[in-house]
Amino acid sequence: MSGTRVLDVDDEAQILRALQIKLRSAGYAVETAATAQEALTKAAMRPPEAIILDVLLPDGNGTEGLP
Amino acid sequence: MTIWWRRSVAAGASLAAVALVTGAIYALKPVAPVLSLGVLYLFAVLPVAALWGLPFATAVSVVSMLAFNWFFLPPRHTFRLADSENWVALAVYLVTAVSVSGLAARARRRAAEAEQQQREAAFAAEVSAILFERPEVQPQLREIAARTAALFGASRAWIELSSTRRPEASEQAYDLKVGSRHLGRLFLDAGVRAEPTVAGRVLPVLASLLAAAIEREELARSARESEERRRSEAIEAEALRRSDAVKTALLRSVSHDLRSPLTAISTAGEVLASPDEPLSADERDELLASIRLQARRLDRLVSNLLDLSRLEAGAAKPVLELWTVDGLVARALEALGPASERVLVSLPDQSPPVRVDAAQLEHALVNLLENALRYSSPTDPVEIRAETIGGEVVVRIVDRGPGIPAGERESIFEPFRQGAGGTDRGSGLGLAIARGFALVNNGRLWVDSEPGRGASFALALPAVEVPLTAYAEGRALGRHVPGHSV
Repeated sequence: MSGTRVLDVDDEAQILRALQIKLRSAGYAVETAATAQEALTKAAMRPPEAIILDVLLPDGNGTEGLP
Repeated sequence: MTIWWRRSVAAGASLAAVALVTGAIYALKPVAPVLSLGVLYLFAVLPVAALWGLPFATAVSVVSMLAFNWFFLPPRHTFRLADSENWVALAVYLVTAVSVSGLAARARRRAAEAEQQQREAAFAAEVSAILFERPEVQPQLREIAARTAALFGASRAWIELSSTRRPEASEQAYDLKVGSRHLGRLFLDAGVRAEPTVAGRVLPVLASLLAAAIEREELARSARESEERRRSEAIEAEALRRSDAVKTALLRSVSHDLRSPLTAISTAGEVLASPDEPLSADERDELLASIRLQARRLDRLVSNLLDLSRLEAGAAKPVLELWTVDGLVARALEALGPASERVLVSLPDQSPPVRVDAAQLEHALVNLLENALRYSSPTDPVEIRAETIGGEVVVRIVDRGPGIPAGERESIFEPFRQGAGGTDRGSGLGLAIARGFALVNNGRLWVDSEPGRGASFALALPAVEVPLTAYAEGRALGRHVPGHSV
């Protein structure tokens, strides 16, 4: 896949899944994370070009992850 | 009787005094002109005047004049007088004796009055001291009555506030009044006649002291009442402030909980609706399932919120009916849906009956089961069991989750409390609602837990004694015991 890489972070699996389906069909390369920790790890391994970040996560506030 | 005795004593003493002075004059006669010695009779007259008053002193004056005449003035031993000058002397003596007696008697009366007034003033001071010793008037009345009895020389006295009771034969009654206000009555035993002038002076004083004390008591009471009212208003305001804080917490918690399923539903709906997005059949099914699941979650949240607000408003009136525990558990498992597969049911053969609102109890049980399922691993079962202990039917919901620390075993029943480590987030309302429903159904809900070894929620309901036949019939019908609605 050559689409723009997007990292979608949300603890609500249903929302994550729906967004993933929508973004993928729109041609993006979607990665998902359910926790702040997972998001940070994935972002470090392959820095995405865009992040969709839920604010309230079980292991922290989403805004803390912002640069 | 006593007055006659007193008069006899007075008469005897007077005669003795006259005799004494007569003896003294007799003794002094050789050294002084006898006529000048007549004035010595004043030594008999004055004490008599001071002690027994003017009438007595006048009589003594006359008697002493006669004695002087009889014993000393020639011709002696007659009441006749040889010398006409002596008539003048006797007349002067008599006038002097009577007027001096009058002065002495008046001085004596003044002294007695002053003493009486002093006693009355002391009485008033004592009564006010007694009244202001304590904030209440009633307990002090007995002592005040005792002082009043002493003042009037009565053997017994009692004060009855706001009484207009008629005196009995053994009592006499006096009204205690301040102006036109009737405070009550003073009763004295009938043996003693209270002197009207004393009563006229003392009773209004007593009445106004009592009135002042009563007024003070009433003022203190109304001050206390308004203080209590102020305090309860402050408590109410604090409760309101707290309930405002609860509502703010509710809005914050609930807005997230409401928005998440709505976002999931609307996102899934958008993806499904857009014609230019190629979706596989699996993806389509997945999105549809997600919509159904999230809608159900929303529905549950909204009904939880409604239940909580009803419980907090005291509007959750249970419709009590006779149910067996297995009937209630069956309803709860049905309502729980597919998740009930993880619930292990172990109920006794003789399912005990309880008198409860089935819908509310179902809701409480569902909440407890959901909570237990949420906080235990998907592979672990949640157990529900029931037993009758000491007049109570105790339904236990036991999980193998992380357990609950001792410090949180009460606070978890407060609204919007969330434990850590749940597999998905609850609204923080379920346990508060379960406890609310337990309470309105005359039951109790608590949790026993050993941290690390799971939690055991106990819902205790009062056991009901049911005639065996109806009970058997109820069991035969499975759930509701007919004919025993309350």
